[in-house]
Amino acid sequence: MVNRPSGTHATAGPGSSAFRVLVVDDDPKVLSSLVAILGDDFDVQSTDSAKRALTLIEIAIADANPFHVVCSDWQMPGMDGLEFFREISQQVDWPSVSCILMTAHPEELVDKVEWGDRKTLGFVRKPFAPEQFVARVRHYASIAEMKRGIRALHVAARNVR
Amino acid sequence: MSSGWRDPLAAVERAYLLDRSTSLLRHDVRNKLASIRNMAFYLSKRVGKSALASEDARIELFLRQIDTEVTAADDLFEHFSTFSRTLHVRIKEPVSTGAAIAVAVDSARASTVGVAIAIDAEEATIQIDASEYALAIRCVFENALEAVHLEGTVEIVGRVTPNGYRIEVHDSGQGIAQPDEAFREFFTTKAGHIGLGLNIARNIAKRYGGQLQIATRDEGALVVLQVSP
Repeated sequence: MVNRPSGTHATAGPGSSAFRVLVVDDDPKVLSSLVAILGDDFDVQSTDSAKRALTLIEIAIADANPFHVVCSDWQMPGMDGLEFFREISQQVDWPSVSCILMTAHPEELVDKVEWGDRKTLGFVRKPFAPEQFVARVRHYASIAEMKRGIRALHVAARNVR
Repeated sequence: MSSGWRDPLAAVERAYLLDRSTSLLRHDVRNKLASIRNMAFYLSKRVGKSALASEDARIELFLRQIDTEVTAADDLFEHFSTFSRTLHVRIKEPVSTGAAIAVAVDSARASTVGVAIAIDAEEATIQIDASEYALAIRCVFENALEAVHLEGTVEIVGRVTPNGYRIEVHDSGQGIAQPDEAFREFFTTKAGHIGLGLNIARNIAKRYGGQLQIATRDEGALVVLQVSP
C-alpha cells in the first residue's frame, strides 16, 4: 500500500479524457495555471516535488491507472526534473510513460542533455503557448498509449508461443 | 596583490557576472511569464464566450493582448540574454599553467598582508581560454585569502593529471562551514561580497570538463579546481 503524499492535488475537468497527466513544479502559480489549462482535456494530478511525484506514480501503477504523461519543471530544489525523469526511465517494469521537461534554460543547454533511454522525452521552453502545449501533451499521451498496446501484444505473442 | 591600475581579468569577470545574473533572472522571469500566459489562456476559454465578453469587446482584446505582450517581453529578454552571452568570446589556445596562476595571484584584489603564500605548480600547457582559466584560479585564491583574515598561509599546488590539470588551494582559515551553500549563487557569509566567486570557478571548471571540490580539513579549507579541456 502506497500512501498518497501531502502537497498533491487531483483535478478532473468537465471534459477530461481517459489520459492521465501528472504535473510537477515547485512554483505554486505555475503549477496551478498548468492544472487549469490541462484540466479540461485530461485527468490531471499535480505536486510540487519530484520525490512526491515518484510516490504518486507508484500509487497510480498500484491502482492499475498509470499516468500517460508526466510534465516536470527542470530546476527544482532537491531532485531536479532531469534526475526525476532518469529515475522514471530506470524503472523498466513500469508502464510506458511520456515525459515532458519544462525549462527556462536556453536552447543550447537543452541540446546538451543526453537521453538514451526507452521513455519518450520532450522539452518545452517556458513561457510556451498554452494551446500548443495542450496539443503536445495529447500527442505524447497517445504515444504512451500506443507503446503500452505494443508491449501488451508482445506479451500476448510470447504467451501464445 | 594587484599593484597596477588595470585588472587583466576585469572584462571576463564582468561578462561572467552579467551572464550569471541574466541567467538567474531569465529563469525567474520566464516562470512568471509562463503563469501569466497560462492564466490568460484559461480566462480566455472561460470568459471569452460569455455574455460579459460579448457586452464588452475589450475583454477578448485585452486577453489576447496579454498573450502577445508576454511573448514580446520574452523576446526582449531573450535578445538581452543572447547579448550578455556574447560579451566574452572564448578562445581555446595553448596556455601555460604557471602563467595562468601568476596572473591570478598578481591580480587578486584581497589583501595579502600578513599572509604567507606558497606556490608549487608543475608547469604544463593546456588548451583553454586563458582569461577564463585565470579568473577561475583567482576566484579560488581570493576566497582563500579572505578566509585567512590577514594572518595565516595560502598554499597553491598545481599538478598535471592524466586528463588535464589540477590546482589545489589550501588555506589556514576557519574552513568552509557549509560546503554545499558555497556554490549557491549570491550566497555569502562575507560582508561586501556578492557570493559568486566559487560559483564562477565551478562553472568554468565544468565548461572545461572538470569540477570544483571543497573540503574542510583539520586546519582550514581545501578547494580543488580540476580542468580536463
